[in-house]
Amino acid sequence: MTINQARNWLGIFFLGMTVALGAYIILFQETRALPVSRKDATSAFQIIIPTLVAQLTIAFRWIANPPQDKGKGISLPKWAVIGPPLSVGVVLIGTFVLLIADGGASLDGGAILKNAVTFCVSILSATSVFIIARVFGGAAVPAQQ
Amino acid sequence: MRRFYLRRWSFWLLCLFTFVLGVSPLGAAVATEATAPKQDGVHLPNSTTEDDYRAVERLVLAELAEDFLSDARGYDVDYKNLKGYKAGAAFIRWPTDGSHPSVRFWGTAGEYSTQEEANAAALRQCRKAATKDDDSRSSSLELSTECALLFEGDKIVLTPPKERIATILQRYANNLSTIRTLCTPWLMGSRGIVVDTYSIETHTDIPCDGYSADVLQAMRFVINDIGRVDKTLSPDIFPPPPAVTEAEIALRAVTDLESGTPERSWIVFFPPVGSEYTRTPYELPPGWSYAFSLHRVPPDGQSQVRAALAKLERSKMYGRFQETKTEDIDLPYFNEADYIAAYVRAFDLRNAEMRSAFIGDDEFPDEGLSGLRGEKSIRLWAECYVPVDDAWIPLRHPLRRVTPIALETSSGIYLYAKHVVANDSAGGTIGHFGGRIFDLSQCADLRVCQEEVSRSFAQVVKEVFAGAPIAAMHVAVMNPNELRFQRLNDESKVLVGLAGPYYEISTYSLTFWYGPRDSFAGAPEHYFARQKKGNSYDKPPDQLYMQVSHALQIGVGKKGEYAEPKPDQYSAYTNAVNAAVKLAVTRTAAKFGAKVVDGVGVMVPEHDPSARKQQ
Repeated sequence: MTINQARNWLGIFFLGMTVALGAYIILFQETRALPVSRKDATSAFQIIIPTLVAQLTIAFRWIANPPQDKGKGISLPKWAVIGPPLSVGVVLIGTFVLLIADGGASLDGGAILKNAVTFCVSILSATSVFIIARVFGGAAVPAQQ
Repeated sequence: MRRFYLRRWSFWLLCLFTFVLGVSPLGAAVATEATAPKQDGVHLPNSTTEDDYRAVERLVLAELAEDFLSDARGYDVDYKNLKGYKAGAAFIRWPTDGSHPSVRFWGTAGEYSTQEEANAAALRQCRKAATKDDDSRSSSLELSTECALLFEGDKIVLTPPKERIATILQRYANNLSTIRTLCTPWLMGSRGIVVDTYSIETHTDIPCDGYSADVLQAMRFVINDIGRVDKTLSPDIFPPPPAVTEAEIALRAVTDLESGTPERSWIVFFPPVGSEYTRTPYELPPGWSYAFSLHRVPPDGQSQVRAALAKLERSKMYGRFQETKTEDIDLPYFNEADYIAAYVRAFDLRNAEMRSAFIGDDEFPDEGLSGLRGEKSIRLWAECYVPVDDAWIPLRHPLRRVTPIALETSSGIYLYAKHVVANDSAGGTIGHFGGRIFDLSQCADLRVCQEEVSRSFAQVVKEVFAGAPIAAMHVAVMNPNELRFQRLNDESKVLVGLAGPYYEISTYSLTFWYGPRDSFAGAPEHYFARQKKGNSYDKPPDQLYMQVSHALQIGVGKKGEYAEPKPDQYSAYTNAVNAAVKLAVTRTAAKFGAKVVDGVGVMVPEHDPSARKQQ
């Protein structure tokens, strides 16, 4: 996997996940599409969105001012680059499907959602944060005039 | 010669001594007179200033003006909108104890061609009103000085008597001077209580200025007495505080115990001691009552107190206790198996309507001199009470009495201490008054009608409440005059839609009893107590009354927190309950061929069930 491919993949993934997840929680909290209380939804939002936005910031900072290293191969295995974000996506989608299917009838939706997003943040913090820093690191310093 | 000198010196020494003794008090008096705060020749209380005097004067005039306008509106006189030259005169009662004056009689005049004519007419009206009153017992000469102009046009022109204002100011000053300040070592206790006055090392009370052993013995800090909230076994149910503002009272349909009209917004600082026929563990011997005093928290102790209050705020229920009957009478709404549970809530007093609901001169610093100087109440923490069953499910509206714990103002934080004082006032009552639902005045045999209608109505109500949208299950209670329905931890069929899914914990308590129509006054237990004692009543009990109390908590999802519903959710349930009651009355009336007039089933002679039975 080239470094450029890794950057594109991670940038698009985090952008999509941040926007989709944030919008979903904001718009559908305390509805049948996300049957958790407003308070729990806000807590979950505050747990995961800052982490995702931080990754997005690193990526776009680099994109706005990239150094010249196109086509350079990296020594990271492909599964290490795409595995953690995909796992997080699967966990979150699975959580939402479970909550919607239950409809608040038997599960404590608020607690489950908060635990799930906390778990996802932990995974990202232990894995993708370093990958992002590696592939988006070394942004060119703007020349001073 | 020596003797002469001795006498001369003695004489002059004596003169000097006399001069000093005589002049110095006079001098001191002159000095005091010169330096004492005064307002137009009237001595002001110590620690007060001319600004305080002016503030009291403005406050008193504003209250008198509001009193006047409000009384006039009660007689359909809208003074503010009178045209032409207008005036308002008032006969003002000035209490001697420093409490605020009030308007006793008044007179208005409007649409006059000159101000002088309007003034004279208003004064005449005021004197006329005063002479009509049998209780005035004043000669006309007194009245001619007591009725004074309050308004000329829209301007307040009354000049209050200076001595009266000074007396009121003295009362404000007294209020401020009785607030003691706690000592910081008391707030650093390690025994798990917030205000710890006892030293383990010395086995004595930790000394603090302003607090003697007698004073400490006579009071208990309420925050120390709050039940161990963290050890409670109650479920995750969070009842709301009692409704205070008119909007909340209307939304939750909290009704007054005597009139059936919406409850007044007053909240009483008093634990639930029971009623004339019941008692609780808070009951005091006759002639005694509870009082509360304020204690200022020093700045370096505020963080400890705030931390303690943060833990208490929005507590679960705890410390439930039972109310027991003291006499063998039927109380329509009372169920001895039920409990009263306590919980802590905070009230935002920045809202003026919320602040004015809590009445007490000595229980709020803003009622005293510091209030005149700008101190404002911000937040009140209080122990609230709600009737619950043995599963901690709230059954009715929270009681309209609380025990204050702490108060935050713009000047700092205060803690309340509870005292027991000799007083003739009695405890509060718990009672409900409901609307009329059946009129049996045209029944031949009232007793037969009562039995038939009660039986039929109870059956219909069970069917209606079991159906959608209320969908509540009937729960048997010992009280024969009460029907109770519950819907516990089930999805709400009232709050349907895209939002949610909402789950409810609902208890509907339907209390009904028979009583006379127009002469019915007071809480139902008074009527039943009279009946038990064999007193006759002037009108027969041919009207069926019912009161519906609904305790409601809403959660998102079955296992979420069940908190206070939002206003739109209250409205939805109110509409659903009203519709259900109306349906039950209509169906029951249809069974007897009775007509329904303004929501009341009226039995007609042609379909009188007692007449059919006799045949």
